[in-house]
Amino acid sequence: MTLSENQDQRSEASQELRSHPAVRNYMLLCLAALFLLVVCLAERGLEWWCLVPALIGCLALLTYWSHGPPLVLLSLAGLLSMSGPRSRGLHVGWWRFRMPTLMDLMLCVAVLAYVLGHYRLLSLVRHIFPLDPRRRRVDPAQRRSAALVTGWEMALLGAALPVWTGLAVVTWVWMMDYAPLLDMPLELWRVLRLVWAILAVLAVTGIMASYLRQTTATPEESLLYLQDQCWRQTHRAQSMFNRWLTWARLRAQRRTCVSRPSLRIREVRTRGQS
Amino acid sequence: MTGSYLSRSREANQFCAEKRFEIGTIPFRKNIPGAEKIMLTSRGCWFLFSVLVILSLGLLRLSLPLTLLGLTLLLWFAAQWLGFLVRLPGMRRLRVEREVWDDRSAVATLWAGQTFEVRVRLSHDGRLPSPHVLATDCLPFAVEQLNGSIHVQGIVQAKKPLEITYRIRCGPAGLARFEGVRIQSADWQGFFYHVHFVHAVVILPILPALTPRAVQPTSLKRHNLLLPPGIHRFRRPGSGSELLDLRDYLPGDPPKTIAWKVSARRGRLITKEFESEVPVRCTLFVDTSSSVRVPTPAGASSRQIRYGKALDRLIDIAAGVLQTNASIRDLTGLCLFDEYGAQYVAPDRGSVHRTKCLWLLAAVAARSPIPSSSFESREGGGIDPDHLLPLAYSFAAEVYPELLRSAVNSVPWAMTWLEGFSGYSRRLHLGLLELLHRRKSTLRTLCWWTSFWALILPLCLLLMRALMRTQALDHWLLLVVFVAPLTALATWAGTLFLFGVDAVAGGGKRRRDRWRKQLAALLSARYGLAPGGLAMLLEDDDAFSLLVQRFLSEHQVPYTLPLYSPEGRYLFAAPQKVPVLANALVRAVGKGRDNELFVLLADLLELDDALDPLLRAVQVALGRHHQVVLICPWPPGLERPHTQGERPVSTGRLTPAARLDPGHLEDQVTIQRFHRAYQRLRRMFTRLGVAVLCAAEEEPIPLILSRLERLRNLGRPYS
Repeated sequence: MTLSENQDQRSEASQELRSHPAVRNYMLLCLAALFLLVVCLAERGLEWWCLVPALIGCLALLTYWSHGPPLVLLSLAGLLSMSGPRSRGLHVGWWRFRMPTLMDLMLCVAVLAYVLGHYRLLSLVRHIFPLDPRRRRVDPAQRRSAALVTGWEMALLGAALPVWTGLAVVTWVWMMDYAPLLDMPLELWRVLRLVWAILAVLAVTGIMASYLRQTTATPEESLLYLQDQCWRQTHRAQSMFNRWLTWARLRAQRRTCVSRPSLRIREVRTRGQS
Repeated sequence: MTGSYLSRSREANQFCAEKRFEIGTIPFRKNIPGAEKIMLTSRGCWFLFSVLVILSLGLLRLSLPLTLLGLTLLLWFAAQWLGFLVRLPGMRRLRVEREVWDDRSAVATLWAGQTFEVRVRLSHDGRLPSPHVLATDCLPFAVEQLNGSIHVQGIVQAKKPLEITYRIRCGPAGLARFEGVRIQSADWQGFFYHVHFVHAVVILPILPALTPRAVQPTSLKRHNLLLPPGIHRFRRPGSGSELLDLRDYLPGDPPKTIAWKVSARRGRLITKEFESEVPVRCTLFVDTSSSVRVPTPAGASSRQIRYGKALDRLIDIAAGVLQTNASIRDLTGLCLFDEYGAQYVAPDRGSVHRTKCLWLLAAVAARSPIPSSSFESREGGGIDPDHLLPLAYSFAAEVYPELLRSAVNSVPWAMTWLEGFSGYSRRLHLGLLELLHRRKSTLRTLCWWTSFWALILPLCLLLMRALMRTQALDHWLLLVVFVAPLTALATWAGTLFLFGVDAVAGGGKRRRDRWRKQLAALLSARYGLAPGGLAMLLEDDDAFSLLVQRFLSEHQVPYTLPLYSPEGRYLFAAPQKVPVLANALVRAVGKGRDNELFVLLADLLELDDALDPLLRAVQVALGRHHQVVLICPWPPGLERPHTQGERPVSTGRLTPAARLDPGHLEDQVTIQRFHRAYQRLRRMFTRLGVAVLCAAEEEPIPLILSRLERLRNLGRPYS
């Protein structure tokens, strides 16, 4: 098979993959989410700037660019932070007691839908498992088969959007409930609370995961762990002893060779003949 | 790859690692991923970074939509992570069921060159479905995938197992070891990634192929009485049914053998003598020592490299003779010998006997070579462990990712950056950079001692001066106070410089040390050397090299080894096998009867001065009117020796640069060395009247069969 035939086959497979219903559905979901995003941003009076995240998102969708979602998020962060209450000169208290509007919630839903759809789309058309840097090409087995996408998955996705937005609102209300301690600034207090909450969740989850991993370890893994601990504590002494032992073994071998002249003569003969 | 033999063994290992395990082309350059751990992919990293930026900006800039958006995305991300984490323990409880089918049913034995279908079923009993998984069946090295896929992806549920089906073609005789299934799991977005290997070892023997030979002797009916299969006439007096001769009657002869008509004509009693009817026996002496078990690269496909060894051809010859003899019910014996001993199966016929012989041949074909001089040689005589390290580590990373986790098999960074592993055995052959890398701890100790004495010496002198109340030490004190800090400073500066040199130039060495430590820990635990075995394997290169070879051979991973030591000594020469073969031959002669053929399938190259016992044994066999044939195994890929009158095959015109290539020159020298050794062996045995053939040629089986036919026809008056 020639190189051009290979390329033709590859391009045909790629075309077939792009026209698959699952790929098309995720593409439509992303486009709809971007449209909703534009509407939400336009409502905030951002004028033509509201198109910037959507344009980046569309470009990333067309090229299946894996860095598209982070760029959309970062551009969105830039736009919204410029139009925030502090930039408008509003008081801190205004922010503290404000409740999210419908447009705020729609914005969250739109961004979450776009991010979710784009990443799943990438898993279908690019790769779901991390690429091995030593490979030149993407192995088709590394991408998720489009045939595995079911209607159940799309339904779950639809249900997840309001659920996670609602949970975010609950968390935000929880964050607003407490007054700052030690007279520290309000922003710092919120950041600290959030950071502590994240760290606590991470620590508890990590400890539980490592404990579960240890309880389900095989005898070989446990033996390896014990050996590793022993070696880390005593590796210098062990290294010294074993160096001496190896030296003694090699010296004994040298002496054996010297004390067996017949072996030496045989070696020399073989070498001479060759 | 096919043309080279010896000098390319390291490259062959590297090539195998590259094709099969995707290791880098340059040793120790590329890292090998695959240790079992939950990994946040680059996709996940970038997303998390963006979310944290949004959340920070929202909180610091007092932006409600940003905060809300950040919280939404963060909560969703955390939920994905938790969901992935919760479903992972189910991955370790996956069950693998494997069946190998031929055209009709599931089989427990494979045959060389035949195709089979492998069916793998992946299931588990957990309540939670697995994340998205990609299951890859670990294909044995002894088989070749024909069609179907060794991958399957999806979600494993309690009632929905995943199935893999593909067809394989078996290679030469040996063992096919199915290790298990490699499981890669990820969430649907590709944020989290986990690798696990489900061990489900299935070892199936690959028996040698039984193909009918075109030169199979025909059983033509030339006499009135057709003897039963396996029985042949022999022109010596016996109890057969064909008349051999007439002679005078002797007292004691049975009356029924008296030829009455002839007796009446001659006037005295004449008795009839009948021919003997004996079976023809053939005993095959198959060399299974390390020298014929060294794999050599014999071609490469797009997926993996094909290996061949001289033993494959010997087994092919032995199986061919067994099959042909069995078809005419002749008796065939088998003697498998190596440098340690011999295993003898008496000549017999029947399918049970044949199957037993084939199993024995398959078992010896699966053994891997071990250089006889690994521990007996002087310094530097063993195999350099770096020769096999990339292959062994990449295999371990694929099959044992759970044992290379940093939680159970750690490599502290200080040990690679500040200390380095010494490896005592090779210390005399190190270059400057290697020496620097391995002896960093000495430099560090030197720094500490210099600093210590730079501090202690002036204090001692001051104390002495105060105690002795003398000013004679003043100039010494001045000198020490001036020189000692300078010395310490210079030592520290020099050490820092050397550490910097090692940091820049020692990237590959650090990676090699890391691989070696992890592999040594795995081998130490696996072979019962723990807890002290790890340090021993780090220091003793020979012990480590031997265990790596054992590890690879247990898993049926083909690897090549250099045949000659740096001193030019043949590492696989095993003169001990000659007396073993001689004793086995004498024993077979002692138990033999008439019409025996002894076929020696033995590698006797470069053992000229150790062949005396064998030559004497051959003379004994010939003296008893047996026949002996010597088949000399030949490494695949090596140019076979030329017979008289045959012109050497031209390998094409070489450019001057190619002629001066050290690898090419080394190959040529090796080939010539093999050819000369073969010619010497041939001369030695031809003097005794023993036919010597190279196993690489097509002649051995016809020659053996023609000798057998000659033995069968020995008594026929018409042949």
